[in-house]
Amino acid sequence: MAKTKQDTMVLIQKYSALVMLLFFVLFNSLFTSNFFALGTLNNIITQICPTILCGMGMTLVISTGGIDIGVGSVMALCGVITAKYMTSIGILPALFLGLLASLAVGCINGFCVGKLKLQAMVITLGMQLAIRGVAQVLCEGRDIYFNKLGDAGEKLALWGSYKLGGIVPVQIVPIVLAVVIIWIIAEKTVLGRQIQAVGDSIRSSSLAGINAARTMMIVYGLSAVLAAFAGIFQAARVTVAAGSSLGQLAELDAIAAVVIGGTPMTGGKAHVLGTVVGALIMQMITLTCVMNNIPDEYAQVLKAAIIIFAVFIQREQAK
Amino acid sequence: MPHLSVKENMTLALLPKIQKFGFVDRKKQNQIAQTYIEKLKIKTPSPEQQICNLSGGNQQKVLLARWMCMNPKLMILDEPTRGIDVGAKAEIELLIQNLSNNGISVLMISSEIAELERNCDRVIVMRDGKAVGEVIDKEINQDKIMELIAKGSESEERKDG
Repeated sequence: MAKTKQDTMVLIQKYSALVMLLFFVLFNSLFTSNFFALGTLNNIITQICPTILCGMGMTLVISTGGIDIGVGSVMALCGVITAKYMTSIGILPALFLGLLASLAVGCINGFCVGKLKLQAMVITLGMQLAIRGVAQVLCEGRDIYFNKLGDAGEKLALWGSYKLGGIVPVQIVPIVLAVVIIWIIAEKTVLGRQIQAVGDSIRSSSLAGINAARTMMIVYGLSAVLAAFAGIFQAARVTVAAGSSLGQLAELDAIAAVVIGGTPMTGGKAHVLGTVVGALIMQMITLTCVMNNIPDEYAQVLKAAIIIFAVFIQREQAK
Repeated sequence: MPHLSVKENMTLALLPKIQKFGFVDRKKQNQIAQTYIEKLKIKTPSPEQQICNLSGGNQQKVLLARWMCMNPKLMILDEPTRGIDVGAKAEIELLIQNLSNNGISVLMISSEIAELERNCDRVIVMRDGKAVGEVIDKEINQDKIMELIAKGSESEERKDG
């Protein structure tokens, strides 16, 4: 079979992210001292946690042709709610409260996008501002420090600092769970098929009997719940729930990971593992620059370049 | 759904009926795709081919299969042969007739009078959501249908004028 230009493009799309990741690993193993040290791996795991959690939710959201810019604010919402109420009602009940609030936010998003047909960009942008405000109001303008919260504070801080077997950071648990669950949903379930159908053509899928409103509510709800967990783990890691800064700009990393990973922004096939690769690439860039004393600005520029490259390749696919 | 495969497009509506605890029944899905690709003679290199790469006629066959595999009692077809080449058109009209012969009621919406004459047992001409007239069986021919269409517009004019 002749190798047409389209065949080559498809190959490039499929493997470009992976190739980029390998390049970074190679580059670092040659030029960065201490790259393969355990500390480096642990750093990657702890720092990539929010990006992957939010990224998993974002993968499904973008797969439906939408976007969720509010995940960073939801991180703050759940973090603050949990920290604020855990001394009075216990960690798990407080966490449950936080998750419930986040789920509500997600379902509202999904309802607005799926039923009211509002633009995802607009509604989630509104949520980003509104929920950040709520988080700030809840913590009364003061960051909630865990060391002032006694026993509960200590316990929750463990969620950030605990090491399985003394070595592996606890963040690996939510990361693996999130990736596995979202991968299964996207690849193996009827819901996953419906999500991607809605993203490919909302009109056709409605005609085929798919309830777009219900699908959207599930997808945005999932995104919010995952963001909620990201907020908890991130707050635990820094042992403070800061309503104003927790999760800030987290949505950008998540979206970038999804884009680099190959899920089309216009909706369609969800590349769950691609998002993981995308998140790793971004982490690699930060790591390379930090460990080699390269100023952060270069890291940002490089990230931007890679995102643009990823979108450029996608353009070919959509044609 | 242009970027999804022939198999996915075909089974999308059926999936909830053949699922196992929310999981897609891959085997059944493949079976059904294979069955209808053969039954309807859908020309595609494989069931995984993206549907946008198929010809209009074959795309339409996949869509027909989507609803046929659900064993409906009634199928509503809205302009089923619009934009399709002559060869595929004849094939699809034959498929529709087979559906009818197998006991499935078919409600076909069409603006092509010759097509109606060829395929239908009963034709109802409609205007602005109201039925203007009906022709049955042997009475169906293009002139009669045209007459009804014109009659509909006549009474409209009388009302305004």
